[in-house]
Amino acid sequence: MNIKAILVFLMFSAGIQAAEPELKLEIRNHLFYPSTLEIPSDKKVRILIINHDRSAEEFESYELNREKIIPGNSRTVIHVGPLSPGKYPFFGEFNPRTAQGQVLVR
Amino acid sequence: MLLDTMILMLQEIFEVLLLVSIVLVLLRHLSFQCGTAIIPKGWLPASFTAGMLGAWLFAVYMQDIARVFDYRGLEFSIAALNVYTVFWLLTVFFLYQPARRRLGAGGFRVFLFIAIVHLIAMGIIREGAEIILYLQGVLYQPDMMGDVLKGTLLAVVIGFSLGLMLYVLLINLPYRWPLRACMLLLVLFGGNMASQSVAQLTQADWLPALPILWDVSGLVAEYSVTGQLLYALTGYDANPTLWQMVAYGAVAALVLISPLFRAGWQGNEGTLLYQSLLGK
Repeated sequence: MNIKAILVFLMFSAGIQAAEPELKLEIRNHLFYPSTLEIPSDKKVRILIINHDRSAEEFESYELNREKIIPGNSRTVIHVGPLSPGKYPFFGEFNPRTAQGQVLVR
Repeated sequence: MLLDTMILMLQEIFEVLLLVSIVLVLLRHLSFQCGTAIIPKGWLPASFTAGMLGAWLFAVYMQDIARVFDYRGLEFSIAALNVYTVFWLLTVFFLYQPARRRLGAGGFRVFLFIAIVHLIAMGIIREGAEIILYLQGVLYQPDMMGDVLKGTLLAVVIGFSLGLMLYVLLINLPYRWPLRACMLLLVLFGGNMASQSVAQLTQADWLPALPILWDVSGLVAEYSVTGQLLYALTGYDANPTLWQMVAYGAVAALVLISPLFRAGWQGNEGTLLYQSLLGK
């Protein structure tokens, strides 16, 4: 097993997972749009987070067990699920009073 | 904004200050046992310098790092930092006695210096990059600058006070208990690093998202003061997955059995930490 094989495996693993549904979440003026994301239960989902602000934000959710920094004017992806039905709040740790939302799992 | 900044900064710096307190207690114990010749000098400024430089680089290149491997680069980087931290923790625990016997006072001092600087610097890189990006964002909101600076100052004062309290508490424990308490805290610290690595790889969908083992957020919520304190001390997670607990348990077990490895090197000097732990 060498480094090249490991890198090829990592790249292919990214490709395989690209088949899961993708939702878009945007950050503008320290607010999440949409503030509620609806996803099906028991399915893995990619959430593409686009930060339109110049400043960084940190997507955080204790219920989802997810935490990721999104630098200003950039985008990233977070994988969630499979989840049981319910509400899973998330917030922007850098602006917790305004950047709030939830993932609604049906 | 002041309160939010204070809470965020305190969360970021407390883990590092906790580690520094533990290292200070352990070095104090070592100096009593073996004299000051093996105690490394300058580890604190070296750790902070290396850590802040690494944090600045991590913050500057975070956007590029985050994009690689289909936006998994950040999770892989943080997991790698945590695994590297665990590597150095285990290196000290397992190689303490062989290094002590084979390297002499000067060589052992260098060994400890390198290990301590790596351990603390990795923590500063992880948390420092986040602080840098947060403060950078405040530059775009100049009306918030005053509250952010006050919040940061308060967090530093409170964090240092808590670290000092822990140091005083530990060194005033009776008999061998300062050492035992530090060992326990390092066991929990190592487990926490391993668990966080798994959480990052699960977030990147590189490890399977196994069902949550338990959810005790109703008892102690992670966002509560108690939850945050428990997180800093033990890596408390109200709803961990099986992989997280396996990783936590594996690293904690490795640290706990390391005295048996060190006992194999028992010689005229004995296995210092092992004997100290047993109170011999």
